[in-house]
Amino acid sequence: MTPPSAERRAPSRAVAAYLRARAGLGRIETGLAWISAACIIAAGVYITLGIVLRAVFNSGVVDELVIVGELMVAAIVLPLALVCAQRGFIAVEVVSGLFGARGQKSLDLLSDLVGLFAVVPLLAAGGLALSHVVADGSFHFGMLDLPKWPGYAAFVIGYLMFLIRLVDLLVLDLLRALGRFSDASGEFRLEAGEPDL
Amino acid sequence: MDYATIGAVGFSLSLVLLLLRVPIGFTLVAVGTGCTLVAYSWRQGMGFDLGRGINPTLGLIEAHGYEFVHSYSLSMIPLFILAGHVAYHARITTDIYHAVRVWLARLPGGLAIASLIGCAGFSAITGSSLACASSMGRICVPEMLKYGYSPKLATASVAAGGTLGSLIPPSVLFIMYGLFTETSISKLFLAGIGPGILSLLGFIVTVMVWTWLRPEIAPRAAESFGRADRMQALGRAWPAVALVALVVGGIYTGVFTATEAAAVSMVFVILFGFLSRRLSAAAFLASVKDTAIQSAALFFIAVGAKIFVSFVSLTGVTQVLVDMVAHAGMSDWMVLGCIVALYLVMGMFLDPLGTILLTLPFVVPLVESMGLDLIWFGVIVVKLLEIGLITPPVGLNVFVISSVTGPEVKVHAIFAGVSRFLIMEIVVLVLLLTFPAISLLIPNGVF
Repeated sequence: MTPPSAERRAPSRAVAAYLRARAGLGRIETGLAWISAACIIAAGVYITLGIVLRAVFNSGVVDELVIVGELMVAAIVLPLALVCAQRGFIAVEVVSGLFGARGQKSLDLLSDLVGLFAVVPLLAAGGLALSHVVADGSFHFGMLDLPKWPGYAAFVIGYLMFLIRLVDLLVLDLLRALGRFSDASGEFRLEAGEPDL
Repeated sequence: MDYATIGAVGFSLSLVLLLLRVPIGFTLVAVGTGCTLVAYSWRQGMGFDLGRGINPTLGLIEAHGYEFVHSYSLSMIPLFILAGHVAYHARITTDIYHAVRVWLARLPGGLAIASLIGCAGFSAITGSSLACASSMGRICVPEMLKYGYSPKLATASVAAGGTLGSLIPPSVLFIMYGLFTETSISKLFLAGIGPGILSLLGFIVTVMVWTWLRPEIAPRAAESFGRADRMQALGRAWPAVALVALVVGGIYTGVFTATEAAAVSMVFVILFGFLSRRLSAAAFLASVKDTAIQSAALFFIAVGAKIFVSFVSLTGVTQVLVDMVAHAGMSDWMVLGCIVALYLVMGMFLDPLGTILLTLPFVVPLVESMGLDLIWFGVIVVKLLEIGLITPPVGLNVFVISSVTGPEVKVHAIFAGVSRFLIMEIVVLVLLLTFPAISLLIPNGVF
């Protein structure tokens, strides 16, 4: 129920643009998760194909370790933003249950901040490595001499989207802690007389 | 600042953040990275220079964040998870329970025993204790309650049976343990078979004794099944039997590596699901997407653990610990007793993955210095983590079952029922500690 002192207004342009951006971000994250799913299937099929060829024709598939490795990077890193959006990372909830509603909101903010401290160095390290492999034209040793950049590019894209989603959650949790976002309706709540976002 | 102090601060900070509900992956990566940066920037005998620490830290993070994930052998984790999801949707996992149920219907506590065997079969396909408890709980508990079983027995048998998921191969915990101790995952899988079967037998004995002492908690089912029903039920279980034979048999005979077994399992269940028309396209797509999400969450923790472990090694805290124990003059059994106590206590509060990844950097060097077999120790650790899954106050499996049954069965009633199984768990643990051959007979016979 809306408190007596609050009123629902049509969102301002800034809020509407933010909500549109969030929806767009969600679609991109879902798309990345599907690419990841396809990579998992591809890895399984490629390994099985290798076994079948080994058993039947005494041969095998080319560059199995490299190709499965590259698929693994995409499979594991691309859905991270979606996991973050769903707050699906495993956490220990023994002591936190003792905190009240305000405390829970503060803990959400703390998680977002620690998450930023975790993801920024990973993104920086991946970006640096990507620039090196692109500049050097590095490739994997094997029959196909596959380039190294696709794996690193997937790594950077995955962590970049992860970072964007973390920033989004930080903003959202901050608004929630300030009472500017309704948990129940999932809508922004603007107090009467307060300036819009 | 000396490295040991940085190590102690980092470990304490991690524990505080974990208790404040910060996700395990975030904590391990952030603290591991931050403390590594401080350690490299603040070398002993020199002043603090952030510029000196940035490049080696980023290099280390890149190695652990990217190279670790760029792994052929680790692809077995998403492949096994996907096989488990698809097998569930294709009803391969639950058919084991239905088959055993038909055979044991007239036995006192037959449904509870069928649930336990069903859990063991489920575990042999999925490798996750929580998935096992959740899925089997939905099927077995309502059925046992319908037939007048005591809620304590109905819920506790599935909560305890669910713990078999970590011990019977494939097991995500064994994969993680193998990864961080650089021991053979195939050997660990084979080492889990004996203790898994022993635990299952222990649980069955618990149910039999419990129902013998108090027959009213498990009324005999009125329905009877003929020979034709039994043979038909057995026939329905063949895909599960074939899948287990494929994984265990393939690894045992050396035809497959563990990774290849995972890929073959995945292809087998998908083909079976579609060809038998038990798997819809929607269920398949949902399975694959869930697998992607679960794998990402799991690997982020593992990446964090790799960074954290490398930070711990850098500080030399583990060596300090090993030296402390050596100077304390404790016997091997006393040290092992302390380690067991540590896991039992941590298992009461932390989830199994968090516990294993936080403790291994400290515990494994100790165990290695004592000359103990790391494969055997892996089985002990996973058994201890299993016990933690049904130990109050956290006992994740108990809460999973509670969420399945709803308010009809109170959590304390489930814990009360589980206490019988906990006694048996301790008996099995003592047997595993005393007779390492239970774990090592199969892997040593192969490799």
